[in-house]
Amino acid sequence: MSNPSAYFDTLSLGERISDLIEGFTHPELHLFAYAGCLLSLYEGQPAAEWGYEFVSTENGLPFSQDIDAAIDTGISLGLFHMHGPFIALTSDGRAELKSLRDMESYKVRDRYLAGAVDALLVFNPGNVREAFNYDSSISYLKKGNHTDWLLTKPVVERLYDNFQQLRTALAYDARDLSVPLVSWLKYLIQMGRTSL
Amino acid sequence: MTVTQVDLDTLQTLVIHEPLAVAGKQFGDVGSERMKSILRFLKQCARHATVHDKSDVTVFALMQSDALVDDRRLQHATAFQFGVTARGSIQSLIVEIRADGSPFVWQSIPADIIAIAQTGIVYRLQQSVETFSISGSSMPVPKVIPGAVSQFILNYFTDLKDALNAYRDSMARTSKCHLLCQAWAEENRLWFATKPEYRLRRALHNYLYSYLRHDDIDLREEQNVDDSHPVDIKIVWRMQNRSAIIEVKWLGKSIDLKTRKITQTYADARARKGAKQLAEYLEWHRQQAAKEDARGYLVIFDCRRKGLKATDTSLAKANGFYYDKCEISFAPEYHKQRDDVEEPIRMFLEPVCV
Repeated sequence: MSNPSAYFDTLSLGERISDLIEGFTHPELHLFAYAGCLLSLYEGQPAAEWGYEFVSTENGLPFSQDIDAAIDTGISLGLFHMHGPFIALTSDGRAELKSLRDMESYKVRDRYLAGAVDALLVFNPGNVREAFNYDSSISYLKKGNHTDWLLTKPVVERLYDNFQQLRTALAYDARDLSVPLVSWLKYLIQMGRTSL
Repeated sequence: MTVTQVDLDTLQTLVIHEPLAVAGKQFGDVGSERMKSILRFLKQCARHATVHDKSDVTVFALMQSDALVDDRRLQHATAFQFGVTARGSIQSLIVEIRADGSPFVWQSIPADIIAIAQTGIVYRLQQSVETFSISGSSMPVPKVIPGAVSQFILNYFTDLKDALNAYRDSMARTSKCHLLCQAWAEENRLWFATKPEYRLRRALHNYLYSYLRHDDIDLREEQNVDDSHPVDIKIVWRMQNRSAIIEVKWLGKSIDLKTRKITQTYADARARKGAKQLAEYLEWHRQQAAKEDARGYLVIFDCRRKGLKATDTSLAKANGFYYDKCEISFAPEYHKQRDDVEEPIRMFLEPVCV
């Protein structure tokens, strides 16, 4: 049985990404699940409440075993199908997602997922990945070419601080979470590229 | 550099100029939503249409309905149909996004409507410059993808060959991307600076990173000079269990401008060496990972100039463009002998000639 949060996230992210850019790849789903998790931190939620964890791969990408398993489950249940070189939701997948979205327990996290995927209105997937590559914890692991847990306690504490400063800079309480995420990603890209 | 501590001044400046944040601050979350409806339209539009440096695109969204606009819409606008209304290359396009997200294309836009539109959110693309006007206050959109005509009306490639050809035609030929610009020794683009390899690789890598949907893409770092394994760029598509190996070579001359000493000269034999290296690597790879479908691509940045001497600072057009149409002959032709090697892609880089 898949992790229920990862199962829901896979369907919701899969639908949202597919609607914007015609399907998704495995790494894109991990990437936007991680972005959704960061938005929950932005709102002050504990990292442990996200429901599953991420590691950074040697390629500098966030990766969750639970998301990977949920994609496999979705494919085996006929909720996903190959759409050219990408994966997309089948009609069964959309129906399954609709029934899950009606459940109160998923409403909060779906808002984080929506905010995450809305970054694709401004960036393409490569830019989102590039931005996260400049984040110190992912960058550190990538340079050492090894994998390790992301969002450890010191990293989460640092992100809380970073996001508090972002809130201050925004100077208004944005209910729409694409606003802080797009601002944060642009900041990472600007700072990261300047130093190359 | 990686980002650990936040540079507050930079963050503040960025947020002040971030259209999504400005729209949200100006109009509340409804402003962010209206902004996103414009962005969503541009994204969908990009599935069927492209823009170029002469495209003129205006997309606006009012923050509240207006009787005059409603009236004029009946005369001047029709419902926009994706894939029908704007298809192929866009010359000029004016679109209104209504509150329910439905787009309407305006054939022309009366001056009084322009004034009303300015009270809401207006996106403009003119001469490759994108701006948002929010409640009359205009702000340019910095390009996250350097050299792109539009940050939003952007096409993705799923086919690597298409992406490489597009890079050749839209970026490399006139050295539009900033990394490629940095590879030149001087502004007339006659000479590369000494050791341009990494910049060339990185320029191509960055383009593919942005425009090609992929699973993983690796760039050979500057210090890796193991020529026996020429993986300059490797792209992986895991679902299809396939990968692309890109070998990058350059032809022409590099110079140390301080001493005016030519530091390297590469003629077409360099391209043939690249083809051989690639074929040898693919053979080695085939034996190591027989189940992975790996294809090889040779990309040649060609800046050969006819009769170029170390003292030259400019060149007549005939000499500058002499090699423009001079294709390189390969013997053996690995791309015909092996089914895992694509035909080499030569990218002629134009000089600036009087």
